[in-house]
Amino acid sequence: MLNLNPYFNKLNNHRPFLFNLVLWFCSFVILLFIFSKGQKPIKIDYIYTIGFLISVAIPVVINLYIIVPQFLKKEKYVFFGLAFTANLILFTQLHIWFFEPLIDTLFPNYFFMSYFSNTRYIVIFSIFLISTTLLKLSEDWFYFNQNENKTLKTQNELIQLQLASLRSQINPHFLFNSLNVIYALAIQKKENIKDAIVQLSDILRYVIYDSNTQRVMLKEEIKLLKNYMDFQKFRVQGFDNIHLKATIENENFKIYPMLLLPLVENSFKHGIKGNLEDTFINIELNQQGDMFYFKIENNSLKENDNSSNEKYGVGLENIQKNLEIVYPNNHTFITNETNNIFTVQLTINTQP
Amino acid sequence: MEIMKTRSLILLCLLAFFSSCIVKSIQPFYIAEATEYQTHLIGEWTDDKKATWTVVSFKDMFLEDNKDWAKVSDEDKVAYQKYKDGYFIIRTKNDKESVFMAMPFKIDEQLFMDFIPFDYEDISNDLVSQHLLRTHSVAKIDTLESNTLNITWLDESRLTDLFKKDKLKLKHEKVGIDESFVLTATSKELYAFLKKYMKADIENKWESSEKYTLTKTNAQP
Repeated sequence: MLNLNPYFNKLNNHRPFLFNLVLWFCSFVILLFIFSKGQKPIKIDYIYTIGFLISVAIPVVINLYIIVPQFLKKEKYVFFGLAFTANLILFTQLHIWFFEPLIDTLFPNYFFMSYFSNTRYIVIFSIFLISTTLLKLSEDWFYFNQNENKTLKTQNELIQLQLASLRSQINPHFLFNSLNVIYALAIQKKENIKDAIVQLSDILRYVIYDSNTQRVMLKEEIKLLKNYMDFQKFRVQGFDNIHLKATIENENFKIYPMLLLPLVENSFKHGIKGNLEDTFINIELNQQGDMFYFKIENNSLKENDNSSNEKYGVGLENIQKNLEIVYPNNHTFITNETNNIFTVQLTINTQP
Repeated sequence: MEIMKTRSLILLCLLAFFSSCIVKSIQPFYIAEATEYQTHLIGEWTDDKKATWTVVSFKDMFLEDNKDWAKVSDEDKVAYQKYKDGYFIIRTKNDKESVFMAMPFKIDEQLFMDFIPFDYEDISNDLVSQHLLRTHSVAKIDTLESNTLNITWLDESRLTDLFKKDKLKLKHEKVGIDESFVLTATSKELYAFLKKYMKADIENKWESSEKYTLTKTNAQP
């Protein structure tokens, strides 16, 4: 469903040039400070620092681009430890053997005497290799985290897009039905058409604006249902066999908006037909702690219902999709039809 | 009192003038592995400034003074081990003696001598002497003929040039009113410096204000 950034692409957006530029510039500054012993650096310090940096860069690059990817990132910790140590010992020893003769040959009239002893070179090489390894891992973590956030953001955007898409399917659906009601009242020239329009206006305000949040309070949803039921009574004159039983522990219980209205809509649309004596709608709401239970049942007139099965199913299908996104693994949605009674039961557990 | 002040001032100036000429170091210029006793230096010498030099083996002199080894203190034994390849050098000019401890050492077949003052007649037993720090100096020894040799001290101005040109990294401190420098580097660093200095392409690198030509006076025919 979601075309997310695959994991194997997550570490491919590094900027090696920038990373190395920052790494070696900072290293140069730190080493220059160390070799000039806190004094103002002089020409010989710059030459020695550059030479030393080249010497230490070789094992660091080998470590960052061969040893760490080959062993550490593949969780071969023992091999990593061995390779890391071998790399450190080998290049420190090579430095001790060849660095001074080489720099003395290249710069015969410069005297690089009071820098560091061999012991200190081992310490500096060790610090360099350890700190650059940690820096590399930090950089990887930074990019990984950045990609994770991007992935989550993309995922969230896609979900929002889906929800908006589903809602946009609900609203016209509801509006279409409502306009049919007004139209019916207008044809019959009913006096209470004005009240119906005001009531519809309240419902639409809630549907379009108030419900446009992540969660709403349960009492608001119940109020909407009651408004809608009253509104529908304009359409179906003489129909009183509708019951709403609510047992609510906490009226401010938060719930995803517009989950229940389509179910009531469906009951009105497909249940209230033919002989009103045989028609009924029973709604039961129960909320306790983190649990929410909703049940609606109506008389089933399937054999008389010639409206498209597709249309019948659009509302329920949309609700199911919404539930999968909003309450993944925390809900049950059961539809049942027995003895000409169509029942929908919804259970939501809001505990994370 | 006024005369004393003037004398002290002149002495200080002279000391400053003297000390500004050669390179001084807290640590010796040699490493133990490089020392090499030179028998041919032993004897009486005169220099081109009409001073006489008496070069005596430290080992011989020590053993002569300490015939009973059991009575030698631990401190003296350490000194003996340290300087047994060295010399006592007594330079006498105008009946005034200056005594040095000297250690011969080689760098790539070139002979050098590390000097440290042992005694100085003019300031012995004086409060001034207690203020003076004995520092090492180094001189290149070149044998011209069998009985003639040149002793050339490493001149401070050569190192000053290198420091000014930012070409030398060698631990040192500037001291005194004339801000002359004293090397504080280790013997290993000093030896390494001399080794590279020998090979360096520096013009007049052994030009020095302290240069003597010595001729042996008790040479065997």
